[in-house]
Amino acid sequence: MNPKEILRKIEKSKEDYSKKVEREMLDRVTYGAKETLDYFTRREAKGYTSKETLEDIERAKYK
Amino acid sequence: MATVDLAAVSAVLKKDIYPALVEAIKQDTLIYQIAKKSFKPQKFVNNNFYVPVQVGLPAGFTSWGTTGTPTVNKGKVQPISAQFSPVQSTASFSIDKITLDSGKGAVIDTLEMQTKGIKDLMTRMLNFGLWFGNGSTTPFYANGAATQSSTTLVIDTNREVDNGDIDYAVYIPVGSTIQIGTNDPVTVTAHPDKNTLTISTAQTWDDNDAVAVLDGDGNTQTYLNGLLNAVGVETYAGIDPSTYVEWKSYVDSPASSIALTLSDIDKAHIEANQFGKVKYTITNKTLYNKFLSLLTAIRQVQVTEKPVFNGGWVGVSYMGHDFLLDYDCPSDTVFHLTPDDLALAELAPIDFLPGNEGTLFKAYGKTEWEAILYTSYQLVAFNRRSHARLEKRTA
Repeated sequence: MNPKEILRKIEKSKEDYSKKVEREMLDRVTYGAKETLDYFTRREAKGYTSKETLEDIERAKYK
Repeated sequence: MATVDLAAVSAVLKKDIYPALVEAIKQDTLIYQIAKKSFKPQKFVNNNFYVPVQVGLPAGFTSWGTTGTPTVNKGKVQPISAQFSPVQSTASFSIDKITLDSGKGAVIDTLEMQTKGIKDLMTRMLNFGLWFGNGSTTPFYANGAATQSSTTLVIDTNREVDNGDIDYAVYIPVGSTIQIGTNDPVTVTAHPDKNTLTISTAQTWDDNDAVAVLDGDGNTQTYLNGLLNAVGVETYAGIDPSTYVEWKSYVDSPASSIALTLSDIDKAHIEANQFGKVKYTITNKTLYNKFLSLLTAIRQVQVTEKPVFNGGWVGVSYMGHDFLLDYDCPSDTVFHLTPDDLALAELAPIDFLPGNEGTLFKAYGKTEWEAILYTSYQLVAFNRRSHARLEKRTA
């Protein structure tokens, strides 16, 4: 490989990884946020008004 | 459309966004990859912490003579402690009432967009601190005077060479409040060109006037004591190399810029390896390209197949260690680093500050809420001789 090809391979690895990290982060945010907000909506529909701890939400989601 | 409750947004920030964001920042930021992470600083005095460092042979014992009471050299030979001050980095989410009233879809879109923005900002500031932070409040300077009032400010870091690959202006985001020399504070309103900022009010200044970024109280921000200081020959962490000659790195800094050579890279590596185990050599793109040209002229080169760090960095193996590329590394510099002698002291690991509504604060005078991501940390070099640096190098 010549220097340009090597440099391109090195840059591409970092770019691909950074994109992967960002995509995974955003997927987790979107999916998790939807689940958590849905859970609050369901609780509200049942008439609960008190604020819950994060542990309550975590327990309820993975029951 | 049902209004989204603040408690629900706060829960999303803490439970869903926080772990995803922190993991992404840590994977994409060299400081978290290169330095030991298990280091917990102790012995706090006046917002400083102290780390015993070896600057010569260990003292071992003090000679007490034969009289039982020392008459000379009483307590003179003792371990030396390096002194470090933690610095703080913050980034914030904000969400307004209209978005909350617009329902879940709008809230999720807003949070997703801001998560991406905050990850980019934190990564950028942590990288800048690692490579350019000088442990002071003014790593930026005016490049050229404005004798007539002007709103166009060109900045640099006052180093002697041109750092061609880096746009310093990205480290002072639009919206920041800055102070040029002793002028009144002004707001950055635009980043129209490389290294160039537009400020809100026309001012005059001199060439090389310090440019400080201010916090919400009008105080100047202090930057990390980064690798340009840690791998250096000046006083670092309160210890002067003119008192302890062991407390300095091998720095090859010619009077004026010269072309990069493999023999200079090798010499610096050998100098550092006498006192440590160099594992990484890092340059930016310009010098990396030059290094590859020099290396491929004499031998075949293979790119490391497995990433060297968790964050996707690959490089080439050279003299038994990894030669890596990092875009934020100063353009004229080659660093040889012994990671065993570097630590990241996290006094407050990245987390949301507690607010009035879980993680959210009501923004002053606005129908808007804000969550602040905060970390307090410092880079610690236990040993300076096990690292080396070439500077003023050109392709």
